[in-house]
Amino acid sequence: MIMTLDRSWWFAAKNVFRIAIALCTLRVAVKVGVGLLIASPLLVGDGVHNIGDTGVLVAAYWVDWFIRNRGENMYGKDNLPAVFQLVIAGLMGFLACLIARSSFLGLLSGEAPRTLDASSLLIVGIAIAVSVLISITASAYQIRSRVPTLVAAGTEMRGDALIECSILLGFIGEYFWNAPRVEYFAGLCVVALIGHTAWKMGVEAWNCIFQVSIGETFEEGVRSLVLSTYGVGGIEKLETYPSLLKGVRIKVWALTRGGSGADEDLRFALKKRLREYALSKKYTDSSPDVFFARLDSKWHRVAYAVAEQGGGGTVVASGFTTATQLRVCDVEYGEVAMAWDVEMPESIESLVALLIEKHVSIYRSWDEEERVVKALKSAGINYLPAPTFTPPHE
Amino acid sequence: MSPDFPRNIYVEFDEYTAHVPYAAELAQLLDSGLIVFTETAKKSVAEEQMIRKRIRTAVQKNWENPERVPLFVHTESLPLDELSPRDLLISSRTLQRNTNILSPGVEHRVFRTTPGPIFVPLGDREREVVIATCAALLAKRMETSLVFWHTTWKNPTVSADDPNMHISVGASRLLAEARKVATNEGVQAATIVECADTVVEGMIRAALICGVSLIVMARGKHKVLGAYPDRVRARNCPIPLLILGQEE
Repeated sequence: MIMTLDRSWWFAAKNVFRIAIALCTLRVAVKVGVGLLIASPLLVGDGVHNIGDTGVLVAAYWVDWFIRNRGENMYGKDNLPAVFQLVIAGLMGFLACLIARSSFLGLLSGEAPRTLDASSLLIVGIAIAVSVLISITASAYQIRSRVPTLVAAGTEMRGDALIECSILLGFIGEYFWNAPRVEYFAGLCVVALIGHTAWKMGVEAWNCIFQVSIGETFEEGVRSLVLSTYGVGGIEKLETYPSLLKGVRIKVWALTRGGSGADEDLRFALKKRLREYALSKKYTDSSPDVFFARLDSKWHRVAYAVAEQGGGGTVVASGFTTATQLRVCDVEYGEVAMAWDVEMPESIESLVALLIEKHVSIYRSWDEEERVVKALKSAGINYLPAPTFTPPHE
Repeated sequence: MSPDFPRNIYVEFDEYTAHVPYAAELAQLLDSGLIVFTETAKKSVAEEQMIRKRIRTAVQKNWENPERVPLFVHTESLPLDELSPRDLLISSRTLQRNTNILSPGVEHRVFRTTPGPIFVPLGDREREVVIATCAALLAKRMETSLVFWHTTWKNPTVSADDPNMHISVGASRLLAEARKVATNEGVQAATIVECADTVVEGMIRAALICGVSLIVMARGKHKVLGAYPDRVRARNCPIPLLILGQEE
């Protein structure tokens, strides 16, 4: 057995989660700690912003653990990550309000937060360098893991390094131009960023919990893909809604003819095709469910007027008056599944009553009289001429 | 295999199955003749003419241009022994080895939406090239592409996951020849090699995933559980299946 790096302990999903959470927590601690130490609302604000990333990873890891260890008999456990994310979004919103309040008060008071000296700039520089290193490393590490949740989180994290570099430039500018009050404005900018992230997380969590549809365009794509698959006769119901971190749930109730292996093959193929479709729409983690309902579950009942032939056997009769029997057929999925004969009644009224009693929707003969057709029509039974004299048999 | 295969398409009239609408659309698509048989009790000449007229109307409602396709209606049973290797029968029957037979299942249409490719499962016998040639000719006439599919056992001496690394030399050569045949006919062809757990399920699932419109197979050797085409049909394969007869 060849042990490659991707298969090693470092890339087991559980360990990637733990290491990524530890790195993200360290990043938050460094930023908030140094921010409080040098009284920088900007750095504290950015640290708070990163709580969102950490929270999402903690949510995913905790939920995975919870489902494995405590999730028995809990049918709504899929909602747990979203509930957790909603709480994190609320917490971030609250912290953003606190930072906004202190930045506003600072602006109104006209006092500088503090003077940024060379040693403070050095500490800030080191703190940001560590953060950038964590952002880049953790992002690459998560993407390499190929676990969809981690890949999505890692991709989001890539942008953080850029924000951190911009913040460092701001501090350098503040030091060289001696403008510490700029931080209050920068703090408000970060508040806007946190607010935006919290809002996005909140909306995403809300849509997951209440299973809000992905949208008509996406559903139309799913519908046409499913209907283009051979064996699917229709769609009874379709549900699509988001799951966290660019995930999507797709539930399809397809109408099929059924059969021993056909449904299993269709489920396998549809799941794969739906996953590919979701991926093409940038949903990295999709879990399609395919359920089956029977096509044409109400059997179509057809009755033929038949007459005995001179040399034996039966033929389709010209009409009611020449028929000796009525052949009632259950037509299921385009084939006669069952057929049986009953004696032809003597009057048209009795014929109509018998057809109603047998739930027949179509009556056929070779060339029926107008009065019979009229009586059938008034009872809601359709008349169709039989194409040949050969009646269907079981 | 003749380039104008199928010269004629035969079908037995049954208004409840998908066979007649499928045969009618295929005949129109391939510019082949359509011959419809319906066995009926002996009746007068006038009544026979009426039966022919009714069936003609029922068949032609599936065509955009009814005049374009030569349609023949016979009020007698299908003469199975008279079918030539250039003819095609649309049916669910199990027939003698030299008949080309297409089972549309429950599909009324040749293409559902856009023309899906033709799926050709290939083994490692020399005859596979004949199957590939026939499929390529059909794909050309139907203006669609081909998917060649091959499943192979895992070679225990090879550790790689890629199924292409496990394929036998003979099968690899036949796949290359099949691709060459497709290129010569000007038909696009994709190749899928898998290490499927079971041949029949693997084949049907791969075909469904590829969104193909037709599966073309050779009438295979009978095995303990039946020949592969029969087992594909027995599994209620939802995709129309063309089984090519064994040429004499």
